[in-house]
Amino acid sequence: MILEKLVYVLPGGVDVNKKLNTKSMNLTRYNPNRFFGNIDDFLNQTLRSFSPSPITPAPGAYSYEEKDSYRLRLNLTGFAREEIAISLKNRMLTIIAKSEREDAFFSSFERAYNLPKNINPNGINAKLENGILDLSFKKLTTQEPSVRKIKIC
Amino acid sequence: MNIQIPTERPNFKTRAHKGGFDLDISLPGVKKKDIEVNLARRLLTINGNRRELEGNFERREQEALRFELKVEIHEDVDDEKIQVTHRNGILTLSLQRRQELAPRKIDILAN
Repeated sequence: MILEKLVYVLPGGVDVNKKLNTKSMNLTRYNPNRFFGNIDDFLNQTLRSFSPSPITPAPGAYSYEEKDSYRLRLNLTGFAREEIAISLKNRMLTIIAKSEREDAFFSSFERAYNLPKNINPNGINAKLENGILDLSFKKLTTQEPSVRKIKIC
Repeated sequence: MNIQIPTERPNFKTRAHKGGFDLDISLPGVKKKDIEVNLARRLLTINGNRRELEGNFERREQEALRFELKVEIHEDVDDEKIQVTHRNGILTLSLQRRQELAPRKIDILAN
């Protein structure tokens, strides 16, 4: 009964009970990170929001935006065309490459990208040239009017 | 004035086999016509230019526009039989051991 009356106040003056939207108070183990959350996640999310590019950069990968498309270049040295599989599922683009040849520098490669919403799923092109995979993603045209007038006959 | 173009040494690895060894050089994005392979005495030089990537990259790693790899090859390597292949961004030099150095059977002459 006493516990129910206990009110925890955040450093900013926010009532924990209100914030968590709970009616009854449960005993929880003391966690020093509770009020700060996971600081790594917080920093990652905050810093990512400053990122101008919708595509996360990674070593050996270059991305840039063009007027009507996004481009992504990946270093896939040593992989042949038939050893690379590119798939798209729910805006998640996955590139998997496996090679068992002796001359390859890497035996496997796997990377996934979350594509921006304004990409046309049918407008993705991939080109492999001298070990560089060049991907281009066409943007959806926003010029299409969302409201249409319908004539009454 | 001596202006130096930033030059990088490409990644390479070797694979030994029975008749000699293969030298693999990683050259991503370099076209075949931009690669030059020279052999002067026993010094093998592989160099060339990397074309600048077109496009407005927001961020990219610093990339040298010129690459060069110098390898001194052993006397046993037959310099007449060096084969070079280029595929998937890898340049492979196949170096053979000299034929006369290969183990062979010596016949015993009868009196």
